[in-house]
Amino acid sequence: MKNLLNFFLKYNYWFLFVLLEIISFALLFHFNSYQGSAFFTSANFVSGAMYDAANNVTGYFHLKTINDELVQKNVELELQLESIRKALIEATEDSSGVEQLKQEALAGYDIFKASVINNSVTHADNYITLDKGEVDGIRSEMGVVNGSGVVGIVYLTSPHYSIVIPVLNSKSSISCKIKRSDYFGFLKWDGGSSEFAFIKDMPRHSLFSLGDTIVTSGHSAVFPSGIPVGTVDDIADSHDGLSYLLRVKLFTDFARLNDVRVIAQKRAGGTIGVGKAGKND
Amino acid sequence: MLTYLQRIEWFIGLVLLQVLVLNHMHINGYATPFFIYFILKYNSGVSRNVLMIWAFLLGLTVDILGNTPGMNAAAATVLAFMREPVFTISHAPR
Repeated sequence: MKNLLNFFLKYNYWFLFVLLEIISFALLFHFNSYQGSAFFTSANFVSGAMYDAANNVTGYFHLKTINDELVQKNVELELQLESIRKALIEATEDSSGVEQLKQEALAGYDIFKASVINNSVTHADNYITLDKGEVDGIRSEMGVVNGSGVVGIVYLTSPHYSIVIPVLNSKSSISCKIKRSDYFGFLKWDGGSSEFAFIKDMPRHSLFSLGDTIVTSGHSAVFPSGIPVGTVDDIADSHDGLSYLLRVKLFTDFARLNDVRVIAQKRAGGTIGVGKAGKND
Repeated sequence: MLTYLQRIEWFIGLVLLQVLVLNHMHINGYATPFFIYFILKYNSGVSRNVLMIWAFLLGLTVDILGNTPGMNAAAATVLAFMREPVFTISHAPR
């Protein structure tokens, strides 16, 4: 008995070691397996505030390019506005018809503005932290987009911050279709370049060609139909040879994401896209 | 007391450096976990248990801020556990 106690006392650090490792791995698997508490992530209060402060500084470094883009966009929009205004005046005397259509398209969705305060593109599972949370109306399973296309789906929320699963995460699976022909598949990402993602189960008989635009399908309530995703960059056979594997060049530049919009369907209940952000790996 | 304050300063400084700068840097596609410098520079002769707890907390902090709960904590704990034997081997008198 005495020997046994001595043994335990002599090697007590082994027990601490095993205990700490068990805690670590429990956290690791807990976080990866289901939507637990947001506490052990960058959505908790302290780390959120810290990233907010850091983003205030680093945000300035991008201002020049963002400004250039905005000016460019402004010019384009003004030109467009001018031509559309002309066309509108020519086509109809009464503008209420067009206004009504626009309002109908946006009517079903709420749009929240948010800033990215933490982001990565180099891990196998990347996450984005936003500076808006439950207090601002953000909930899990809402869609996130930016000016150029789809970003991802909200995963965890805390009162003031939220974590998004972007396209660049193995858990992400967004229903997309080819704009021209309406054939649909699921957008996946399995590591590698942050510019490309894949659509796996595109049927053999579907019609598409290189350069075709991919948009969201609207089959789930997360994204409305027709939000741009990317263009077909390469076509290959899937591993089982039964369908096509499309490489998609994403419109969104995830490496310099700053301002995003969170979109949410207004009507509560009904068919919310269950399992879209979840685990179907 | 003073050493504790110094240690906490190092802790916070290394965590900030790791999370805000080095987490965005990759050399040949590998991560750059510089925060383990804290574990390597800790006084020799420290008990393994103390060092392991420091390493675990340090790794966990980096994990929470980097959205990888448990990963760095597990690795840092192993490092703290292995530090003494490895140092002993590498500095053994010839």
